[in-house]
Amino acid sequence: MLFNSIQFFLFFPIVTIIYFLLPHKFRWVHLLVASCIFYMAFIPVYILILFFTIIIDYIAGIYIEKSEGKLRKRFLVMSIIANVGVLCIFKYYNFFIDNFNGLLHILNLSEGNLPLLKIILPIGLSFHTFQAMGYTIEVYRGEQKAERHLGIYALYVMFYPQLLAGPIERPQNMIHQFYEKKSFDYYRLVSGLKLMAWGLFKKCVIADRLSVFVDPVFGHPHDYKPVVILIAAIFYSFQMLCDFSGYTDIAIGAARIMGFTLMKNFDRPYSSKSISEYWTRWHISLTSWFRDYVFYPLSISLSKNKGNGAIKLYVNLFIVFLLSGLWHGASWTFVVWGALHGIYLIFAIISRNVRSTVNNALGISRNKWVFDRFQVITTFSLVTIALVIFRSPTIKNAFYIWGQMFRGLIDLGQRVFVHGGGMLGENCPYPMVLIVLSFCLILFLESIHFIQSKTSISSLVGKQPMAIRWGIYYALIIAIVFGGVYGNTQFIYFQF
Amino acid sequence: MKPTISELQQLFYNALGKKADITENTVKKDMVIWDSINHITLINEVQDHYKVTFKISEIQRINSVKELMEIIEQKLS
Repeated sequence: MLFNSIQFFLFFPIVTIIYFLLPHKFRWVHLLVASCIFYMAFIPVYILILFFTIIIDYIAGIYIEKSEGKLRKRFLVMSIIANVGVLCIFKYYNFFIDNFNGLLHILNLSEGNLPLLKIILPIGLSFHTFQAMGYTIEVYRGEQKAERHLGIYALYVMFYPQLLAGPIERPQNMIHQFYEKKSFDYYRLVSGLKLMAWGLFKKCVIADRLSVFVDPVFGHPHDYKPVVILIAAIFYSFQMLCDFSGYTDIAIGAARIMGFTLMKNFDRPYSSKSISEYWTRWHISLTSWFRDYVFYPLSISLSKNKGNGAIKLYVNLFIVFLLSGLWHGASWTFVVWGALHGIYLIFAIISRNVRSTVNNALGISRNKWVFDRFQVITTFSLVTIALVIFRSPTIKNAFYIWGQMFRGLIDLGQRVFVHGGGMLGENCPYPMVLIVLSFCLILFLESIHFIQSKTSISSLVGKQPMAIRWGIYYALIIAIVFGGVYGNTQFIYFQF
Repeated sequence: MKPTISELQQLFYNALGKKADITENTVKKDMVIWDSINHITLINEVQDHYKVTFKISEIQRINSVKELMEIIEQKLS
């Protein structure tokens, strides 16, 4: 069930109203049933995958807690194998087999080709398996008590606002919330609805509008001029942000209305002044998952071999980002995207002192405001360059697009942006006026982010006279209804 | 045995690669350079210097110089 659909528009108020009408002791049942209905709106039979991993992890959690010594680790391994196994079968099997068959072809052994499975990726698989593994790891570390109530544990995995695309929650944040009695709160309702409306605006008005430009250009880049390709790459960075953060806002808002607090997943990522900072602001729940469950365990033993400490740190970083890339999809384009970010970070560490010397020598860092803007633009450029391969259907396509982006920059630099028709060509997905409108939407988005860095937008709007407040809400709804792009528009992160 | 600020300043310098004006009140989120990567490098410096070992849950819980000093002191006592 998509958040930007009529189905959800009916589902959400019905579920929320019934939630508050029911006595507290029955609410977990209601939410669990609602979450099952929500999930089964896609491919109903896939709910069995969820049930399988829920049962395994529920049992694993209890036995990890009860057991001692090596047996605890065995139950943890059982949970990880179950979740990773499900991922391998439904998400990565065809990728591995494709590459294996490719290798056989190179070795002239194509008779040994293994068959591919005809499987549709279960929606939300990467999210709920990671959330479940986080639970058993925390129980193993002694940081979370094993949940004895199967229904509550199942709800932790399946809670519908965050089931399909996160945030990937931690048990310490979520499980206790399902035991707490939540009363209806008008201010929480208003706050949640405002956040959902903002999320819908980002998704329907900004992200889906940008995708009308981005999709044809990335699909057939050879048909478009370099400047158009450059614009598409920039648009894609914002489409990605608005699509995913828009979804997250709807999820957080929907949960908030019922009294649940989900973790923040985005924090103005394009205001980052370094790639390292970017990863503290983008898809925060996934980054922190990889940090706490992969990077820290890999890195903690660095000091045992101090001489190779730096090299091991770089290797661990690279592994984490390769895995992060692979998490996003079973394709080499995602792996290369992850590898690029790993290289960015390693380069940043290695070149820290040299860059500081160069910046000082060139006087770039003399003026803090200028230097900060320089860092923000550089970081955004690096992110956009990496996102090209994330979006491209093939690595070859990505290289072509990168080359054209560079040419597009040169075209812009050489000619004054007056004869727009000449630089855009006849085959541009948008006329100039819509390109300008799209950039205005991006400027509007970043202006909101800038204000959010100084104060809470919600309370700022809340302090205004009623006429202005309601004018803003009305404008937002009109923008969503009449300015949104609708049709077969999926949330990007549903494919992961 | 209690760790001193001057010892930690040296360890921060080793980990972050530049002089950090830390005090007991310094918190991780206020220091952009004290990110996850530098955090683990710092933890390894602390482990080596004081000959202690941190659990991952302890590493996750250290969000300030004060918390770091408290946990080192606990391990040394």
